[in-house]
Amino acid sequence: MNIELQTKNPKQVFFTMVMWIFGLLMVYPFVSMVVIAFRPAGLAYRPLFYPTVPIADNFITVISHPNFLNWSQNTIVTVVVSIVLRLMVTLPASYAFARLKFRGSKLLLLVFMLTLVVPSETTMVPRYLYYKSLGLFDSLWVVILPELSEVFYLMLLIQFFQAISRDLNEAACIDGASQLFILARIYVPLSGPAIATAVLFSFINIWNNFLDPYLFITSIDRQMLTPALKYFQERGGANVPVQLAGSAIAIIPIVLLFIFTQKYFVEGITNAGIKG
Amino acid sequence: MHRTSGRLKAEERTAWLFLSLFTLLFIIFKLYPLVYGVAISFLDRNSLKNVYSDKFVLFSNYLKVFSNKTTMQAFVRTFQFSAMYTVFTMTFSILAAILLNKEFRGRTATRTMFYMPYVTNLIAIGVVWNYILNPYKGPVNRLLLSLGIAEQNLPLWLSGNNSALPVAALIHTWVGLAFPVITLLAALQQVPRSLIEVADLEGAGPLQRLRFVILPSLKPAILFILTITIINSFKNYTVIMALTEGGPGTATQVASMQIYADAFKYFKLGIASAEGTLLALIIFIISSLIQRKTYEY
Repeated sequence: MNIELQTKNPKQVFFTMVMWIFGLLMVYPFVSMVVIAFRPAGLAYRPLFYPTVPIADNFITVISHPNFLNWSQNTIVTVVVSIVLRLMVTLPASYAFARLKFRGSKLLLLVFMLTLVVPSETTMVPRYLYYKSLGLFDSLWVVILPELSEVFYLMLLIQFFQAISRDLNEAACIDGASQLFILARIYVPLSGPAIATAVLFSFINIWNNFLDPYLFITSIDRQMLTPALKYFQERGGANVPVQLAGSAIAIIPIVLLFIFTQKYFVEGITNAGIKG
Repeated sequence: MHRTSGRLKAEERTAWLFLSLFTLLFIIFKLYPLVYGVAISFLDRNSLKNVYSDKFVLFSNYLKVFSNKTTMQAFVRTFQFSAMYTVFTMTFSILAAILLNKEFRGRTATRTMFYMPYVTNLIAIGVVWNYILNPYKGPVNRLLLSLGIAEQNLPLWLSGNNSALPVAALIHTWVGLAFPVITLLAALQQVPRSLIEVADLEGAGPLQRLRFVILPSLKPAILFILTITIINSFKNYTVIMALTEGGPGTATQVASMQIYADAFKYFKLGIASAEGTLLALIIFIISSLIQRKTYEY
């Protein structure tokens, strides 16, 4: 009712229009990505609304690349395995920090937090030499294993666990439940939203990871989608619509996932922000 | 008494058991590379192969880094990029959050549009922005041309020696807007309505309300996003790689690109490690200084 009244106010109408224009400008690159991807190369630089018959050729070129299936498969396997293992590794660690008393807990958490600020590009050389000597090169494990001890997810789950009532622990302890039981049967089922947020952010970050696979995976058929897109950009030369079709394929799953799970995305960032 | 300490001991054992995997992986994949990087920075290493006959050269790599003009310029560009990214992000996110906090039809959808770039792939973003900002045929310059700007005056955007770095910083800002905007929107919900009503009763205009009521109550959130933004501003390798690959010439050759080139093109691994260690150290010092400042409030 309120909104109905407001929209009739000319000032409000103007404001609404301006905000819609801002919004459209924010997504204009994605709109033009999809529109141009359906054009033949010769018409790539014609205006956005230039009437053309949409063609699927560019998408077919990308999909029929002999390695496209490998890249997609590698990406999906890496994302899924990383997420499952991350939860198995991080959930107990977060529980220990949130609910168990042990000596050195503050110091350990501090060490974890300190590395959070150092970007991964500063350690490309040691990681290159070290992973090579560990024999991890060219395998998906070189991307998966370093993902498993990301402190961001540890903090996310610690914060969520700390908000769960301690009374539950005491009641369960009196009943003789072990800590593992309390974690698996009480805390994990109560942490749906936090786990959903962790899964969503993992999905986005691992899917979009460029540097690690670019540096440590050297065989083209073992590569993941994001670095492969870079090869496409380099090898594809001037065929802009093919590059845009590849880009669209690489972002569509993430954009769809994001639109349907936005609630967890916003909650995840809000929680990180408020408690920081 | 005895029983309690026994229970505590058992609890401590459980805690370490729960922590063991995470801590082990952290030591192997996060901590050790940092230490190893510092170690290599003291060695005269010039091959990607693992040979253990490198000479220990103490600070000689660091001296070479400091006396190399190209490398120092790359470090300067990193700070320029970070400064621009930080200023752009703070300005646009505060503006966007205040606007997106007002009621209007389609607000949820508009917010989604503001958040969308954050989840997408930087390489894909590089492809499409290079298309949009193509200096000769791209839609932006075609629009400027139709608005009557002379062809020789059209901006070169990502292909211009002076414009490439700021444009890259601006695109990176566009990508990352979701995080600060969401944080500020959450903080705006906590500005007490009564404060705003009092300001209205006192006859404060919208600008005064912003200056004296809203911005002061947002201060903790603004300091928090400032910290995160500065830390993120140094994570620039992928975005530069996607947009310009360091070019044109060396216009966007930031420190992380220099590390990559020294290591994997020229195989000067000792020097590249010294550059990496130096960069990590600088970022570390800057972020602890801001964090200390933030805690003062």
